[in-house]
Order: sequence, then structure tokens, then C-alpha cells
Amino acid sequence: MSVIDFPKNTVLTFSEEEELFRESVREFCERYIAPNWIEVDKRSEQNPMDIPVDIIKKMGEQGLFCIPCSEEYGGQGGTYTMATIAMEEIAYADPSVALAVYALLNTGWPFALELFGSEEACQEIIPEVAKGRAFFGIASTEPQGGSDVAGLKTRAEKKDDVYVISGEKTFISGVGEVQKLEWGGGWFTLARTGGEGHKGISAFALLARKNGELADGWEPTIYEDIGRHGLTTGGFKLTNFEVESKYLIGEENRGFYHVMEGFNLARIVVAAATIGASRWLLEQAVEWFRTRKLFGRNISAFQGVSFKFADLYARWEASRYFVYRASRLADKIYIEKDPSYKPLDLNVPVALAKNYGPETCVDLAEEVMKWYGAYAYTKEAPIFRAWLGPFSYVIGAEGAQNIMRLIIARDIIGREYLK
Amino acid sequence: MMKALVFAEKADHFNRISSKLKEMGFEVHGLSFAEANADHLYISEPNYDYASITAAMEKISDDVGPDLVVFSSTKLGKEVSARFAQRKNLPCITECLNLEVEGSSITVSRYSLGGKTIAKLRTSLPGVIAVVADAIEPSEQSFQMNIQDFEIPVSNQIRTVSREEKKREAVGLREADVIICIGRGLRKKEDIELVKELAEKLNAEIGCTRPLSHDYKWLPEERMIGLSGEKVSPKLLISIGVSGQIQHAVGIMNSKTVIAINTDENAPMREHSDYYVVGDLYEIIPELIRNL
Amino acid sequence: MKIAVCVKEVYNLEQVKIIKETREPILDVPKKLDDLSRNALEEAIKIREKLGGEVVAISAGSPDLKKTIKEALAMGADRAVIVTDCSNSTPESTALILSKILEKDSYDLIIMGDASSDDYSGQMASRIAEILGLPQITFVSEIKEVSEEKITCVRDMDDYLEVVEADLPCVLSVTNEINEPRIPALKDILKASKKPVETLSANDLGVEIPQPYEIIENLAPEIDRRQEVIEGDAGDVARKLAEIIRREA
Ligand SMILES: Cc1cc2nc3c(=O)[nH]c(=O)nc-3n(C[C@H](O)[C@H](O)[C@H](O)COP(=O)(O)OP(=O)(O)OC[C@H]3O[C@@H](n4cnc5c(N)ncnc54)[C@H](O)[C@@H]3O)c2cc1C
Ligand SMILES: Cc1cc2nc3c(=O)[nH]c(=O)nc-3n(C[C@H](O)[C@H](O)[C@H](O)COP(=O)(O)OP(=O)(O)OC[C@H]3O[C@@H](n4cnc5c(N)ncnc54)[C@H](O)[C@@H]3O)c2cc1C
Repeated sequence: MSVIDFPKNTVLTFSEEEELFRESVREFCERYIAPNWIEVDKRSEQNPMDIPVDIIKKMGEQGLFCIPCSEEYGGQGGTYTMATIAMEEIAYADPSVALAVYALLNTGWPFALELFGSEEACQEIIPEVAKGRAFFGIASTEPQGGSDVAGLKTRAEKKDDVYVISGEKTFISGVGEVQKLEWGGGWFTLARTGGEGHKGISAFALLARKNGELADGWEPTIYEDIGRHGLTTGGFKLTNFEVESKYLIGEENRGFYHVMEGFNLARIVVAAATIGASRWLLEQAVEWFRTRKLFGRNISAFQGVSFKFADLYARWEASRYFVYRASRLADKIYIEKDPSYKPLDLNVPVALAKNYGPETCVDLAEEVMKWYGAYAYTKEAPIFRAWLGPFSYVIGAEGAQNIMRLIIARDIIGREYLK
Repeated sequence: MMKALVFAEKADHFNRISSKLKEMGFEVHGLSFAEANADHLYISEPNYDYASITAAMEKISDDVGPDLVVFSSTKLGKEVSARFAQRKNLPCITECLNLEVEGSSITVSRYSLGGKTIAKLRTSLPGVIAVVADAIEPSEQSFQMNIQDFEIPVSNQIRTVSREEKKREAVGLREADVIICIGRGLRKKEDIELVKELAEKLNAEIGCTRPLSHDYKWLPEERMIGLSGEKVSPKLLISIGVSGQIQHAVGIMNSKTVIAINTDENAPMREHSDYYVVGDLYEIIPELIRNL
Repeated sequence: MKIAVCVKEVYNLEQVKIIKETREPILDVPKKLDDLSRNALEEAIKIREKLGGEVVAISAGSPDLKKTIKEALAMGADRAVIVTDCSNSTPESTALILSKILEKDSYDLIIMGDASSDDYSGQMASRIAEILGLPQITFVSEIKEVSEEKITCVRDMDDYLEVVEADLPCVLSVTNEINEPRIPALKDILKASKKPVETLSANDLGVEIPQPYEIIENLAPEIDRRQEVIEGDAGDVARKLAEIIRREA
């Protein structure tokens, strides 16, 4: 039973299909994810390559990946809002957000591939990703820094029908999954094909492993993360890695523009995952308030506690509005293809959601830990897992928080006034 | 005098029901597979086929003209009561816990909303009900005891290929003074040994929740307590690792004292407990055994 | 094989709360397809997957059915027939209405849950089979064999397990042990809105809803336990408990 009776809402409303879908995801998660998430987080903390392959497979069978991708590519033929709903529910069931991040990367980036990639690449990759047999994420960040995408150094040289790529990518989600899943997978990968700056960058569907076979020139490493252990982060070196030209995504030297649209899409579902984890945290808090008594009263009787809670609750509701506003807008642009909306219209709404959702979640987790007291500092209490997992998103995964502020300021004040 | 017609495949159920009806002033007619208490009893060979029993009850009912037809609310009893009621175009209420007669109407109670509430329903006679026989306290009544043999007409709407009695332990849950009831808080089957040790010290019977008997099959079905299992009334019930969902809790409501041990300080079980121990059964039970 | 599945909408019972003072239930909660109806549907879909044919979901209930029936279509029913003006139904009236719908087509199998998780009345299979003059196999925990002509099932009764067979057409009621119902995926949900739903009223069917009984009250049982909480070190707790046990046992 849900702990909190959420207020009725006539603004943020969902269609019958959306509600049914939310229910079905919730039921799936109650059956297969909620009972296992702590175990998954613990096991992969011991060994990052202990990847929950079975759960990923089950999620694939249930159709939780590639949600907005079209059915002809093996996608689910849903909307972006449906993807958003799924990520919120998955993260509610696994607030370390590992499984939600797996699902959202494998929804946002295959969809970006479908928007810009070749027919052949889509036919080959998306069906495998949809089934949970392959991973497809984003490889943009490099050792010299992630925020400055336009400064990336990995180079791709075209030789006849192949691009030969060399360079290094760091802090990339899915490096372990690509090696462990049945089929394999890879990333929406950025490399320099032209001159300096953002106009010299191209995007490739780089498959490190396909059909169970590792590609040459790909040398991975796995990091030990502090949280969301159920999903690996790693890096890889590319040495004369050959990519056929059918894997070029969109136009040569326009990769920067394509990836920015991809980031916008991915950030919506990132924010969705954090509002799901936040909902779990809110319930942990309320359950605790209703039982924990000190000085002869419930701890929520102290306004120092309850007002803080009210503030965080307000931020959570606001985040939810931001998230679904962005997803509805994405539907207008990419699903309904309504000509009165343009991809750039997503910039500010997405930046608001990605800025507000993760920060609220992490702040909330921190407060909930304090409300629980010393118990929360033991590994027996699972709350820290819902703190360290979402923390990846205030640190910078899918774009640093300051970059979100930059986007908001730039678009609202005007680019020229920020120079 | 109003007449009631009873069918129960178990003599014990039959007797509980007939004593209640007699107490309420009915003349009791009945069909049973063994000798049982009634004013007019038809005894037949055992038969577990709904179509045959429905036909038999129809025939007897046509002869007797009962105001109320009562079945025991077993699976067979429910199945037949509804088929019979439909044939006679009568209302039928199953799973009745209690019944009272007022003039030409009868009032019964039954669980509703999945056990969350108890509904009181009134229906006018003639009517059909299926009663949870175990919910009735049997009383001493005197009956005319006219007994005659009866042959149940054979039907072959469906054909029985085989029937196998469920292997049942004789479980004395209903008579037990002390019951230890275990739930999913137990991590594995072997841990039941720990509970058995405690049960021996207390001379207690062991009962369980549905997941343990039906999903994990750690204990036989007849040890399950709750809405679809046994309703118990011990002096002391110790509930260990049980969340206390309403479908389970209705089975323990008649216990005199309830102690619960649960790690969750806020499980629904708390409301159903006199003493609610917040703690890990694996720490507390061994200590408790040492202290007894 | 043409299979009808009688499904029921129920309140989402987990969300039903009780007003402490009056013990009345608060029924202002969403409805959903009953769990046992989903077991029945799952079994019907499995048979269709094996033998081909059609699965029709049939239900009588409130106007909310227009929404809840989508769950049945998403699970895999091919179409649905619903009656939406009988919110205050009883087993008597529901059986009449469902039978009227069932009579309009010739079904080989009619499957439903052995009871519904709200009322647990368990009359529907018997009543419908009687009205339609069909054989019934109730409390089915396993279907051993099914063909166009005949079905063999295991029945899970109170004290015995029974294997029975019947010729089709036949009415079945299933227990919740029979299967684990599938969870509809997004694709199934999207398809569901395109499947035909025929909406009728009891009036259309010429059924007058009988009201054979009156509900005098429907209240939560009184729970009057001490609810004394005992916490602390396992040793202390055990000593306290031992004392209570000695006193009460
Ligand atoms: C768990 C995890 C998973 C990840 N997965 C992926 C992945 O799958 N693919 C991928 O490509 N990357 C991934 N990343 C990397 C992520 O995209 C980068 O962390 C992010 O882009 C920030 O880059 P950086 O860490 O190099 O920090 P930097 O870019 O060095 O930034 C450091 C700090 O400087 C601030 N800063 C930088 N520029 C500005 C500015 N213009 N104005 C104001 N402040 C600024 C940032 O806000 C930040 O606080 C992942 C990161 C984590 C933690
Ligand atoms: C129509 C219907 C009829 C039903 N009929 C019945 C019935 O007759 N009988 C029945 O029992 N159920 C019945 N159920 C099922 C019922 O709803 C519950 O699902 C069931 O009772 C839960 O069993 P549980 O308490 O063992 O498990 P859970 O609900 O999983 O509870 C386990 C409890 O153990 C606690 N715990 C965990 N670890 C420890 C530890 N180390 N130490 C102490 N405590 C611990 C947990 O906090 C939790 O509260 C029915 C359901 C339906 C829908």
C-alpha cells in the first residue's frame, strides 16, 4: 500500500493508456525489481562485473527498453512520456537507480539513433537492445573533461568505406554490460572528423561487441563506483578501431548537434528516474515520522523536521512538473512531429528538469538519512544507496548541473549577454 | 414451524449446523453421508458430484418444502448451494459466519471487501445459505431422529477420473491452547526447527500464513490460518514474522492474547497484537527458548 | 476454440481504508480487474495460444468498466462485451446478465475465477452453468488436457484432489494457484485500445436486476488489542516475553 496519499492533480494528468502502462510497470517492478534491488547493489559492489543479466533480460521481455522506438525496429512504439513513466516507476522500485539508468540509456540513445542513424544500423542494433541482449548508451566524455563536449580529442579518419577511430573515453556507463550481455552493444560515440570546435565532430554507432564477438582495437577498463553498482561505469581506449560508414550517425561533422538532441532526450528520463527514487525516499521519511518518537512525540512534531520535509516535498512536486512538461514537449517534437515545436524548444524545459530532479533527490536523501539518525549510517539501512546512486547525476552524468544552469541562463537571458 | 433442509458432506459440520437451526426453532431435515443429528435425515452413500447432489437436494426439497436450505460452506457446499439456488430461482449467500431469523427473513454476517469488513445482510425466506460450520458453536439439542436411506440419482455431467485424499496431518489448531504462527519473516525451511523447539517448550501447535503453506509448501495447508484457512481461538497466540494482512488477521481475531514479533515496527500486525515485539526473530527466539 | 472469460472489476482493496471512529470503509478508491479474473484470462489465453480461436472478456459492473476492461484486452482478450449499469449487482443478477450475453454466441469454454477477492461468494460458475444447462468444473488448479471436444482438469478441493473430465461446452472456475498471470507490456496496452468493446445495458438485455437482499451494515470488525510495544536488547525482550507467556499460556 502506498504510504502517502498524494494530492489529487488535475494539471498533471495521464491518459488511460498511460495509467495502465504505469500500473503494469509497477506490477512488474513489484514482482521482479523491488525485492532484489538491495541484493543487486550489494553484489555488484563486491564485483562490478556481477551484472544482473537475468533482470535485464526480464525487463527486455516486458518491453521496458527502446520505449519510443518504432515497432519496425523492434521498439515498443510508445511515446516519450511513456518512457518517462516507466523510468519513474523503475527507480521507485530500485532507488539506487541502477536499473532505471540501464533502462533510460537504452531508451534515450537508441531513440536518438533512430532519429539520425542509418536504416541498417537501426535494424541491426535496436531489436537487440529492446530484447535486453545488447546495451546502447552514450560515449562522449574524455579524460580531459566531460562538460566541454566541443573540445573532445578522439579522432576518426575516413579510409574508403570505414572510419578508423583512435582516442580514449572515460566514465562511460555500460562498459561491463557490453561485455556480459548475450549480443553485446556499444555507444552513440563522438569523435573528431573535422577541425577544432563543435563543427568538427561526428557521431558513430560504435559497437564494441556484436553477436557475442569483441571488436579489435577496443580496450576496456572498469571503475569502482561509490553507488548505483548494478550498472557498470568504465572507460575504453580506441586504437585504430574500424567503424563502417553505415554506422555514421547523421551527417559528418554534425555530430555535436545530433548529440545535443540526444542529451536533451536522455536528460528527461534521467530526471524521471530521480523523481522515482525521491518518491521512495519521501515514503521512507513519512513511515519513519509516523513511528519514531522522541521527547514523547513523533519527530515530525518538531517543525525543524516537518518544515524541512515540506520544502523538499514541494521541490519534488515541482520536479515532477518539470519532468512531465519536458516529456510532453518531446512527444510534440519527436512523436507527433507537430511543426510548431522545434528541438531547441526542449533546451530550457529539459535543463530545468535535469537540474531540479537530481538535486532534489540527493538533498532529500541526505535529509532522510539525518532523520533516521545513526541507523542510516549503517549499511543495514538501504537509504544511503538511494543517495549515492542519484548522486552520479549531480556530479555530472548526462551533463553537469552547472551546464544545466548555463543552458537556462543562456536561453533565457540571451547568448550574447553571457559572453 | 419453519423447516430447514441441510446438506453437509461432513457429519461434524452437519451437526453444528443442525444444532444451530434447531436452537433457532427450525424443524431440521437433511441429507448426509453418515448418521447425524436431524429431525428427518436422509442418509446416502458418499457422493461428491455437484450434479448428483443438486438433483438429490432438489428432490428432497420438493418433498419437504423448506423455508431455508443450508449448506456447509466448503468448496463442494458452495458449489452445490449456488447451483441449487439457481435451479430453484432463490437468493443464496455463501460464507455465512452467523445467522439469525426474524419473522420470515434471515440475517447473516459474512466477510466483505476481502476481509476488511463484515457485512450484515438480510434476505427474505425462502432462501439458501452456505454456512462456515466451524464458526458455529455446537449446542445440545434434541431431534426426532427419523432416519431413512436415500439413493442419490446418478448424473454424469462430468466424469471423475480419480480422486486422491490430501495427505493430512491431524492438526489440532482449533483445539490448541497455545499456537505459534509463523510467516515469511522466516528465511528458510530449515529455520522451522528453531520454532519447533520453542513450540515444544510451550506445548504449542504451529500454524502459518498462506505463503508458507501454499507458495513455499514448507508446511501442510491445514496449518494455514486466515480467511481461507483455519480460524483459531487459543488462549495465547505467538505470531512470528507475520505482517498481519487482513486476510490472515481474521483467522486470529478470537485469540485471547496475541504476542507478535516483527522487525517492522509498523506492520499491520501491530494492531492485532496485545504485545508487539519490535525485533529480529533470529535474535529473540533463541533468547526466549533459554528463558523458558 | 471460442472462449468466454467472465471478469470482474473490484475496488483496489489494498487502498480501501477504514474510518477509525465509525469503522466504515472508504470506497473512494480506483477499481481494477480482480486478481482471480486475471488467472482465468491467463488460462484462456494459454488455451488460445495452443488451439487457436478467440478469447472474449465479458463483464457486468459500473461505468468504470469501460476503463477496467482495458486491462483484460491488454492481457490478451480479443474483444469484450460489457454491461455498465449494474453497480449494485448481486451474484443473482450478475449471473442472469452474463448468461444473457453468453447465450448470444456459442462458446466452447466459459472460464472465470473461483470467487472474487472482494466478496468471495463463489457462486458465478454454478449459477451460469445452471442457467445455460452446461456442466461445470470448479476450483480447477490445473488443466491437464484440452481439445475441441473434451477437457480434463485437476480440481483442488478442501480435502481431496480430483481429476475430472467433461465434454465441451463447459463452465470452469479456476483457483489462483493455476498460473501466474502475465503483465501486459506497452505494445499490448497500445493494441488494447483498438480492440472492439461492445457496451450494453441490463435494459438492452431485458434483465431486471433482482435485489434479493438488503445490506444492513458493512463495518470493519472491532479490534481491541492492547498494542503494547516491546523494544530493546534481545535478552531483555526475551525475559519480558517469557514472563508474559508464563502469565497468559
Ligand atoms: C556514474 C557516471 C556515469 C557516467 N556515464 C557516462 C556515459 O555513459 N557517457 C558519457 O559520455 N559520460 C558519462 N559520464 C560522464 C559525465 O557525462 C561527466 O561526468 C560530465 O559530463 C561532467 O564531466 P567531468 O566529470 O569531466 O567534469 P568537468 O567537465 O571537468 O566539470 C567539473 C566541474 O566543473 C563545472 N563546470 C564545467 N564547465 C562549466 C561551465 N561552463 N560553467 C560552470 N561550471 C562548469 C561542472 O559543473 C563540474 O562541477 C558519467 C559520469 C558518472 C559520474
Ligand atoms: C483472497 C485472499 C485470501 C487470503 N487468505 C489468506 C489466509 O487465509 N491466510 C493467510 O495467511 N494469508 C491469506 N492471504 C494472503 C495475505 O494477504 C498475505 O499475503 C499473507 O498473509 C502474508 O504472509 P506473511 O505475513 O507471512 O508474509 P509478509 O507479508 O511478507 O510478511 C512477513 C513479515 O515478516 C517480517 N519479518 C521479516 N524478517 C523478520 C525477522 N527476521 N524477524 C521478525 N520479523 C521479520 C516482516 O517485517 C513482515 O512484516 C489471502 C490473500 C487473498 C488475496
